This record gives sequence, C-alpha cells and structure tokens, in this order.
Amino acid sequence: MDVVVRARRGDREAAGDLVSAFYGRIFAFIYRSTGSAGLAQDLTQETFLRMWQGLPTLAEPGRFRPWLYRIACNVVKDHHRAWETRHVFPAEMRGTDEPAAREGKEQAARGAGGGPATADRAIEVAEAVSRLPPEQRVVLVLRFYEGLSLGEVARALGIPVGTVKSRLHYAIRSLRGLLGEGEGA
Amino acid sequence: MKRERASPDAVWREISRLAGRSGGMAREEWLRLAARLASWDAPAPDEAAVRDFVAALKEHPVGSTAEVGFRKRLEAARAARPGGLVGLLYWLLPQVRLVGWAFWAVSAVVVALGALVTYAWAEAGVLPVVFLAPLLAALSVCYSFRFESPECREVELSCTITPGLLVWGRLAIVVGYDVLLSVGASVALLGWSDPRLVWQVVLSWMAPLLFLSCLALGISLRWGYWYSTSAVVLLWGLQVLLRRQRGWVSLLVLPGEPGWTAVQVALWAMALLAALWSAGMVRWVGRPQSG
Repeated sequence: MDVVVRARRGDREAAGDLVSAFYGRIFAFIYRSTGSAGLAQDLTQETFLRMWQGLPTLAEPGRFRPWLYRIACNVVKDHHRAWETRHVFPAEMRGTDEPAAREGKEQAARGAGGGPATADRAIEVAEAVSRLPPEQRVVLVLRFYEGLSLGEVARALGIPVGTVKSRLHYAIRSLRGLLGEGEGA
Repeated sequence: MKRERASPDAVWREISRLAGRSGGMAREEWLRLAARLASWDAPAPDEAAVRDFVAALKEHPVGSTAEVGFRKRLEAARAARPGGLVGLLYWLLPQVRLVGWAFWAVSAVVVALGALVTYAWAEAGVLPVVFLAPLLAALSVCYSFRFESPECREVELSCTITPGLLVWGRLAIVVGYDVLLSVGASVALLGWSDPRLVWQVVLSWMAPLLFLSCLALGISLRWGYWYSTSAVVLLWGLQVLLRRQRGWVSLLVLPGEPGWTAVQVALWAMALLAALWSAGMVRWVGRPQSG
C-alpha cells in the first residue's frame, strides 16, 4: 500500500518495485487469456506502460490490484479488437511435432510437475479454457488462477458482482462438459 | 510477488449458490475439476527481460512518458488551429491534395467539353450534360476511393477519426465539386432567362448522379475500384442505348418528355436505396478486397 502511494507521487523506485512485483501475475493472466507466451510478453509490457502513465490518476491506492488487472483486461480486449479475432489457441499447445509444440509440452510438464501424461492433461485444460467465451474465460482466470476476490474481479471488469458469479458458474459448467467431468467421471 | 490460486472451497461456495439456475454439481465433482484446472500452469517470464524492462521504464518520470508528451503537443497544435473560413480551408486543402490536382483539372475539362458538345449539337438539347454529370460523379467516386492509391491507403490506416467519417468527408468534397461543375454547365447552357427550366435540368441529372455515385461508392468499398468503374460505365452506357429503343423504360428522361415525374421519383428512391447500401459497405474500408 505504501509502495503504491509512493509510486503514485512519482517515486520511480517504488513504481519499478510494483512492476517487478506484479509482472509475473499479469504475464500469467495474459498468457491464460491469449494462450501465447510471446504475445503475453508484449501485452504485459503494454499493460505496465499504461500503468506507469496512469499511476498519478489512480484514485484509491487500496484498489491498485483490480485497477492493474482492469488495464490488463483492456489491453487484451484492444488486442483482440485490433486483430478482429476471438481467441485462437496457438499451434505450440496443439500437440503437433514441431519444436514449438515440444517446447510447449515441456513447459506445461514442468509447470504441472510431472511427465508427458501430466503435460497432456495440462494441455487439455488449456484448450478447454480457450474454448470458453472470452467474458467467461476472463472471469475464471481472474477468480480461480489469479485469486482475485469476486469484488476485485467485478471492479477489474467494471461489471456487477452478480454478473461475475453467474459467468463463473457458466464457465465451470462449460468446462465440466469440455473436460468430460460429471456423469460417470 | 507470489502467485496464489483461489481456494477451491471458496469458489465452490460461490458457484453452488447459483447451482439452482442450471443444474447442480456435487462438491467432489468440482474438487476433481479444480484439481485438473490447477494442472495448467503458466510459464514464468524471462527474469532478465523483466529487469531490462523495469530499468527502461525508470528512465521516464511516472505519469509522463513520451506518448503523453506527444498527446500534449497534438492538443496544443489543435488549439492553435484557426477557426472560421481559414479553418475550413485548413481542412479542405489536405483533402484536395490527397485526391490529386489532376482529378480536379480533368473533371473541369470534361464538364467544359460536355457543355461545348451540348452547345454545338443543338439537336440533342441538354442530353449530353444530363448524361455526363452522373457518370462523371460516379467515376470520380471510383477514382477517389481506389485503394491502390498509397496516399489514400496511408491516411485510411493511420487516421484517428473513424473510417466512416473519412469516407463521408471525401465523398462530400468530390461529389460536391462535380455537382458545382455540372450546375455551372447547366446555367451556362440555359442562361437565367427561365430558372424553372434550369432547375428541371439540374434535377434530371442530380438524381441519377446521386444514385450512380452511391452505387459506385458501395461497389468500390466492397469489391474495388475496377468493379465499380465497370459497373457504372456499363449501367449508364445501357441507359443511353435503351433511350433509343422505343418501349423500354429509360432513366434518362428530359424535362417535358413523357414520364419525367415518375422517372424522377423512381430515381430518387433508387438513390436513397443505393445510399443506404453504400453506408452499410463503409465497414469494409481498409479491409483487403475480395473478388
């Protein structure tokens, strides 16, 4: 909180500390929203550029985290709008035999802490999440993976808490079908 | 900062309250699903790249990067811009240059030649002008919306105003210029002795002019310059041919000829439909053309 206040007053060291502290989380959020590590790197930097510019306008330092995620959401939204595309999952996660695909699998396996079978399960989850409608996907990623509270998700997206809840509910219901969980599983 | 996931139990509490809406899910089932979701981890960013990025950011004061400075300069330039007639000229001149000086000169020469032919070919009455004005305006639209022009393309891709505004702005200038030329030619040929006749002649070419121009705009935006040029030349050429065939309905009817009013009404309706259709085509601005 103190760091945010100092950064808002123009302290570059404090602002730099904020970037270092949140970089990994914003990167992970954008990676899960776009499915591409390369794109996530570009959009994460764009997010922090906007944060750097907008810090003096941050009204409530206590709400820095949802404010930052809101910027990240807008950056991702602008990207999709600019390319007139909905989410397209990258080839590197699609189980081809290309070097990028192998690298993606190894990365997923390392992340999952297991071998190729564990990596395949992680890829299944990634593909299932990528098939969710963007508005449900972002709510799921913010709440489940990023650990934001329902109120923080609502502030980050500028929607009511009730809408966050219902989107989360529908996202999980869809995932249940996509991942074959449920009856007999 | 350590990354943390939401507790599956907390998420379960949140979603289970909504379960009645669309069928419930057992807690054990959700926990299995949550465990599977947790298996998808995101890669960590490159630490050296993050350090370099933070170091680069620190070179700029917080809240004031190069982009902010650029915006301020833009606002200052906007504030310093003159208003009134001089301001209008400031706005018009770049548009005029964008289309190209040759266009304005050639249009004027074509109308002057049309007026001369009309004057010399007394038997035809004012037909050449009525024929020429719509075709000239439609071809002007095709020319000014040709995407092969690098200047036009560059402006369309880099302008901060919407493509729609750009299209309508350029359309107003180009068609407005052709209308002015054609009115001038009509007045030069008929004089002011009978203003009613002048306005009837102007109306005779105005409706087909608007119809052909809107049609040309729509086709230009959707399919491209060559398709729109071919379509308007073919359509209007057929009108000239049809006029000689008795029994055919022609859109080229002069004041005083039978059916003038009915054809005028039909032409204005067609112009309106073409305008609505071409307005729908504005969304194709800047996209690669198909076909």
